[in-house]
Amino acid sequence: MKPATGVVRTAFTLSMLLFCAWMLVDSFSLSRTAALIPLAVISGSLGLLALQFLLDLIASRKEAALNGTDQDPHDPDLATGAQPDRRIMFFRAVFWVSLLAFVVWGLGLVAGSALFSLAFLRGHTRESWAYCIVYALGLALTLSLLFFVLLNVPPYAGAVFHCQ
Amino acid sequence: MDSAVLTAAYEGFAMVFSWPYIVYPLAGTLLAMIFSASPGLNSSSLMALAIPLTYPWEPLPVVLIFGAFLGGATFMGSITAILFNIPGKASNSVTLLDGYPLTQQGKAKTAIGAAAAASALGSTIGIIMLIVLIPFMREAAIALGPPEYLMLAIWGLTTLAALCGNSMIKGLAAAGLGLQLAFIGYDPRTAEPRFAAGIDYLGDGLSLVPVLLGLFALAEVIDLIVSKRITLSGKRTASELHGSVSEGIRSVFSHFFLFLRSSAIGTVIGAIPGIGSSVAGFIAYGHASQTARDNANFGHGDIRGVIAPEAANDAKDGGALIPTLALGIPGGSGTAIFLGVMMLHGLVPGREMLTGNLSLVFALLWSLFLSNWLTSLLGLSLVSPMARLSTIRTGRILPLILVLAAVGAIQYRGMVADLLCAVVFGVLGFLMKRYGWPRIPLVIAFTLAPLFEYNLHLTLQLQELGRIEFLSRPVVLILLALTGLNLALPPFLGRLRAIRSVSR
Repeated sequence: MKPATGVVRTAFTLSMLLFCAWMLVDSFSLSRTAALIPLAVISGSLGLLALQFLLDLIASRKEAALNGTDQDPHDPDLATGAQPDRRIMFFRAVFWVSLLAFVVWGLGLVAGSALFSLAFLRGHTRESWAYCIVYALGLALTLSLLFFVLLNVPPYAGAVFHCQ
Repeated sequence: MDSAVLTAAYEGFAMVFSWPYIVYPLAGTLLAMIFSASPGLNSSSLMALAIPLTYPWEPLPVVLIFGAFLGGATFMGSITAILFNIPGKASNSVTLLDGYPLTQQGKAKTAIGAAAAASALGSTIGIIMLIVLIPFMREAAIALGPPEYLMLAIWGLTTLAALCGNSMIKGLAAAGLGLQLAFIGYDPRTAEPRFAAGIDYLGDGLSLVPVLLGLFALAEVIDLIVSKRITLSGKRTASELHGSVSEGIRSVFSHFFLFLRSSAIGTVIGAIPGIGSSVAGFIAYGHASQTARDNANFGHGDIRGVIAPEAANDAKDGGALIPTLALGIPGGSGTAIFLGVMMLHGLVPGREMLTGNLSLVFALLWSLFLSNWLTSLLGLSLVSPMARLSTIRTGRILPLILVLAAVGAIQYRGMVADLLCAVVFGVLGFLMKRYGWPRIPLVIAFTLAPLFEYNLHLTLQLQELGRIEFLSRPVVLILLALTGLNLALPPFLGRLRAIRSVSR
């Protein structure tokens, strides 16, 4: 069963609260001078986040009691029934953004960008092969012209080519 | 005004607008425009690349072309910020807060028109203020120390209260998170590594550009994929787009007092060395939101959110030259390189520069003026074809946006890890947007945190040693009053509005 929006919202606040708590614990290992300002700021943030977490928790419980579910009644997806689809789309979007980072890291800016755009247009937008290839080649050519000819600045070459 | 200043102003004007010298600012502007329109590249990289070429040149062409590099780079980065949520450089990042929502509403032309007009007019105000301030430059620049910088940061942080949106708790917590993220890296006083979790990349701290690209550009890409939006503007053809360039230009005049205040903020902040180029825009944005009668639309496509940072950003260029020319202290990375170039060509900043070489100083100012106007006018001619980009199917434009963001993230510091950092912040930015957490306080706090922390340490130290008396410094008192006003004005105005509505 997929988690409901109210729960995810509360979990998001909790994750920020935990990050803050980790920073607070970590700041105790610093010297008094280095910890002075971070401690003051983190304590304040932690208090605010704890308060927000409580508010989210109460809101979730109220919503659950009213609707018999943990879902947020203000969630725009509820009206369209698009929520599960949105979650899939979210993970798909994160996959594409991460893939860009991975491909560019491995193959460099020019080759990585071209390969990524080819994969994205074919895999996500379902464009024709001809369109995808022309787009990718055009992008590679533009980036090459920009970096090598116009700016004379070498772009990031990629981990694969660095190793060779 | 001193007649010597007026004579020098005329001589400088004659130098710039004479053949063949006019070619230098024109060529410099075009080069700066190309560089600044490419995310991650900026005028500083262009200036650094151009230094070896200018070795055999006379001082005048050097001053003219570098003046154009300084002035021509600011506006173009705003176009990518408005259209794609990708700032050309860090100082353009404020423009996207309201510029991109305007594009989503089909009003890209209005936003770009307003940005161009505010940019050109803002630079003019900055230069006029610089000319007026030339006689007082040295005294003014020396009067600022750590306590003033600290108060400036606190003043900037108090503008956050107006940007918290519906939830003050979420807004303040986001600002706290922004400050905390800025603490990652070496402590400025003890050089101890903080909150790096053993990751080498975090040792140097997080950089503003990948954080911004993630929070706004990549978060928007994720949102576009999730929401299955057809086009950026929601319109399929250019004829469906609302707004026009003239509407944008008119909006600057209908908010002229705000524009003047933002330009003044830009000039003053630009004149303070080492603050960083994006601070001026953020403080002007915060001020615009703080003083607006109805600020509910800020962050959702308010034209004032474009005018204020654009005016401040361009006015800042004139202000940044004040300490550079008067004291030899650069206001930012661009002016630091410019200072080096001047010294390479035998031009020493200080009293001599402002007396013996005053006409050369004015030639620089005219070049700056010309390049700012030229950039805006050329930028305006590109509005229609560029606005059409917002009607292209998102599926087709997303790879381009993603690649531009990748270029911006990597080329900024030449580190591929910055792209990974941007991806992490992209996911964070999307979740913040989805669950109603305002991103603007986080970004403003992140920008102002180094200024705040470093100067708080210095001020405390100086106060302990008895070297300064914090409350006896006039600039500190003025900034304290402005801070008080920032805190007191919104509740006061809110109360006043409530009383008025009751009496009606």
